[in-house]
Amino acid sequence: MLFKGVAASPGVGLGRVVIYKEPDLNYRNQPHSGQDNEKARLKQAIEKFKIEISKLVEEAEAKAGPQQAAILTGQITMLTDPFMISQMEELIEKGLIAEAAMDEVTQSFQEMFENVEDEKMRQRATDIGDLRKRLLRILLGVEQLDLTAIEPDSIVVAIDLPASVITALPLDRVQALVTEIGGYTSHGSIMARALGVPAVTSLTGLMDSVKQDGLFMIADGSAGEVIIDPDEQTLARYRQRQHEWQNDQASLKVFIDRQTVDADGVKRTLEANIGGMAEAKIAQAAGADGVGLFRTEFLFLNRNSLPGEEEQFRVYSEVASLFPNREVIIRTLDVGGDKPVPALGLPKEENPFLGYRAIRYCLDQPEVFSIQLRAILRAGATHGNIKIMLPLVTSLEEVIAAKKILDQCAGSLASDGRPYDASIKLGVMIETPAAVQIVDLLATEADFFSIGTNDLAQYTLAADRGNPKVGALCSPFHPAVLRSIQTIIKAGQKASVPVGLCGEVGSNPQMIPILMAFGLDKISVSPSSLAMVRRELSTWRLVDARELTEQVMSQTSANAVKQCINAAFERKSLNLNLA
Amino acid sequence: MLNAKVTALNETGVHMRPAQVLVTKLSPLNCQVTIKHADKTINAKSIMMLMAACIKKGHELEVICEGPDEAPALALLEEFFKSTMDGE
Repeated sequence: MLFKGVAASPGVGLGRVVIYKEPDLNYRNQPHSGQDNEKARLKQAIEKFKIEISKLVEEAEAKAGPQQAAILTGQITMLTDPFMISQMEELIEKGLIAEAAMDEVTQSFQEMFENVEDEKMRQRATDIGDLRKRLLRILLGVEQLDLTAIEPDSIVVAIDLPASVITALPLDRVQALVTEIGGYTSHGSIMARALGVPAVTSLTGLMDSVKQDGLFMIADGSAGEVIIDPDEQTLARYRQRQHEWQNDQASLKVFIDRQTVDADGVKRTLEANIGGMAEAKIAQAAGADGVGLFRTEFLFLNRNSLPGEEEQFRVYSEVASLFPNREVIIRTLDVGGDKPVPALGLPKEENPFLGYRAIRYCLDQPEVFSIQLRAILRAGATHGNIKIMLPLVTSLEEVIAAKKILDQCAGSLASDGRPYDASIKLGVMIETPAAVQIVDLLATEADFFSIGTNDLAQYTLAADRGNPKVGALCSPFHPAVLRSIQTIIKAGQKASVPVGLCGEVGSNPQMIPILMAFGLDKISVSPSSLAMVRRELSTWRLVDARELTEQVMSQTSANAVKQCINAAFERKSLNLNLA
Repeated sequence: MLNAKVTALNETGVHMRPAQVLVTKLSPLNCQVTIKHADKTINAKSIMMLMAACIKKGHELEVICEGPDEAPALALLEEFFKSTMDGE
């Protein structure tokens, strides 16, 4: 049986299904066993909670250190609050079952903590949420699935896989990740790519066909396909494909953690796009020359209160510390009505991509923007390598307005006596046709440019790449997109403003010679693509790249461009094989 | 009913540990204990409420005790907030 979904992370996985389910904590159908009994159940659950946590504390002290352990001990302390327990008991007396009483009381406390002004105290809300889930699980007698003990050659199948679950998996035993919900850019997919695990997502209805563990499955993360219970022939074909993929990966290994040089021996700058610490570490291990794009959205997603200055400062400094003497470009908050950020309360819009988002939102909400800028400025002082990048700029005024807020933040930090980077560089992401047209004007205010090719292609070609009906129109090989990229790079060179590129185009090997010939200063790609791009760059001499690009720029359509590049790549691989 | 105005002198404010210490001492006393801080009214026999009140060094508070053990409760609170030693 074949399922088609989204290719979330390349590679082929063959193995047996292990279903991951978020524990079902619904208690609506639980019977009421009488007041005294419900109170006794609550008491027992609390005792069991303390025993479970005490065990975890021991493990955490050994593995994660005293800080992690202290967080857990705190959960026990919270549960000794006589007032909280008495509130739960009162609700039981009013006729609620233990689960409902506990749930209501802990939720009200969680809300209370979400709304306190003190940043550190606000984080307690997460602890109460954890405490609530664990207590519910104990009350309902639901076992926690232990994925650390899965068999080798497993394919983990789930409705959705939170990033925290993915990072905790024993990856040497996981062949692939397969989920019903998600897209190419969802957090789980990004994590899968960063870790190099094949993944397929957006497989609506898959779980109806996969009801138990142990089914044999093929997951093709390059094609976005899943096959359940394949026949011999199919299996043989995919074994071959997996073999080829693994060989390719093995040949890429030599390109991990080495200098990036082209075939002329000229050093090229290759940076990484990251979304948080986990990816930053992978990028560092793969020898990235820095971070060309640090998406900060993930700090803001899936939570009910905004991350405060301290929390942001900590995250930014930690990432900066991994790349001493190399730049870390932090993109300021890039959200809109299409991304779920409950903490921002952004309304749903008719046209979110043309709406209230990114720099527009930030300039309209200077309090939110200032917290982030202050955190960045302070983190900049720790290693002196942080730069700021503004997303979705369409006018010069936006850059000037953002700089004004940045100056105010710097001023307030100075009067607070806090260290900050007074000479921090501020760049502009070029990802709208407007920005391309006024790129010479933007160069007067920007310290650097970074081309965001995903949005640039989408806005230039007026085609939503997520819409299967028109997504194919959104080709980076379209002459309009290529000319735009060339225009930006030329303008940057003229004004001595360095130009980087941080879109998906950068990890498309067929674009590498074109970007090289255009004179792009640096490319930033996902950590999992670093080795591949490094290998591709190593095969091009500037003179050959220029020759190909000259041909490419005289083509009249995306298809013609593609054919022209394909032919050149075929010639090249033939030559390489002959040599 | 007894009440008094106090200033919190606890060096690091009333976070989890001091809150737990205070609640452990207050719990056996037979009286209600309320702290008024800014516009908030806090049940001082609750670790969670005390934590969420975010009481910091220098905050002006009003403490109100009501019930048979109100006198020892008030004394305990005054001593607690005067202590600069994190409630130990």
